Amino acid sequence: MRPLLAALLTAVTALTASCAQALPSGAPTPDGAALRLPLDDYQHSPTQGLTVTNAYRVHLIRCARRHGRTLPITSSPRPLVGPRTWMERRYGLTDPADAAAYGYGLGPRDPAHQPPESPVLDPASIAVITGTGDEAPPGGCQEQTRKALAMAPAGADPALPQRLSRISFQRSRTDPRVRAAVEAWSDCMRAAGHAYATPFDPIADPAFRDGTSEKELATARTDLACKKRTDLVGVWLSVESAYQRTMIAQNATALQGARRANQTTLRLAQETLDAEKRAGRR
Amino acid sequence: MRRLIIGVLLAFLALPLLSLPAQAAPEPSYLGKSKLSATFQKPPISGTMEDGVCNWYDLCIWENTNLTGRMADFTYMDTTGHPVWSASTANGFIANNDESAINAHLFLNAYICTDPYQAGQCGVLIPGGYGNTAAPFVNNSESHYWN
Repeated sequence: MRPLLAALLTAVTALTASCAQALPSGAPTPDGAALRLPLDDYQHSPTQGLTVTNAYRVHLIRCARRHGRTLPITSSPRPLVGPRTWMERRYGLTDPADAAAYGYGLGPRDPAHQPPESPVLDPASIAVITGTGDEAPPGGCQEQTRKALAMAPAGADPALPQRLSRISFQRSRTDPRVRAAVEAWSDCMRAAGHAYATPFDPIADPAFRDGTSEKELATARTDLACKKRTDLVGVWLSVESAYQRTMIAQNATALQGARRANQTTLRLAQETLDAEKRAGRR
Repeated sequence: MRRLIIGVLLAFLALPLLSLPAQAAPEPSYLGKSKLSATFQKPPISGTMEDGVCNWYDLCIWENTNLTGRMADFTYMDTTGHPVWSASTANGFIANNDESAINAHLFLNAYICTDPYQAGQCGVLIPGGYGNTAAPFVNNSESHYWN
């Protein structure tokens, strides 16, 4: 019987450790862009996604050119717009440096600051891209480009991590532990004179844009101080990480396939951009 | 005594299992559609802006599944109208009311977020990508941006 007791005690110890990992440990929670969730290992970051988009444009331009069309866009890499990581604004404002510089805005990464490209695209070019014209390749240049970057591989679903991440976010948002932390944060903000129910509300406040007022900067400072005091980000990260770890265990094979597919696409995209850069130097 | 100890330990082991998150089976989502499906018919692509037609530079979002029902066409040219769907005069109805979408832009990703101003959970919809958002997480998007 003693071996059984020993085994049970070992199991209890291991379980206690895993539970402790899923709950706030008291260790400082990283800020903003340094935050990570388990599923982030399986999907492209926004920066890596931009690499793929930039390579996508290179292939699209080349394909259209092969079919006699010159697209009115450049193959030069576009700058990153929006959050740098999936976590930067997942639980509201979290980056102290950005908060000090831009308040609730994104500064130079604000999508509204990016000039739109010309929408002038003739019907023949649209037909070549979408595969609706007689001169178009099968599936159009869109499909050719996806194939060149292996974006829709057979037997793998590259978007699975993103889909699960959406589910874990929504589930964690309604989790009682997160709701209690959000309430504590809201109470803290109210005590400082700011009436917001959730950490997304000040970001959406039309009075705040790009740290243009002292009121916005002061509110952003209070916001981060309240998050620290109530450990809102630590609790939310911990709860959502637990949800994601369960999802990873339940979808291990499919997620490994998604990770491999995303790694392949990223490698092909990087090779495309490297070759384009070399060709530009000649 | 020994039985009691074993019983307590087994109960302790079982307790956390009851509080584990509910099973999260993979569910289809328009954020996850990466290849064309015969299930959907792509709408025609025209060349005018915010005209109720899904143009090649639009993010088009429908209030029902399978690209049906009322449609919101957010044009890429309207860069200031994207961060708060509910504030859009023509397309405000689609905020938290979305069940399917297509990124009809031919060479930009659309990033769709659950909250205004690029906050909450954001997912990418590749050029030409389209599909449904599955229950129970339909009707939960509030903003988007391009990159």
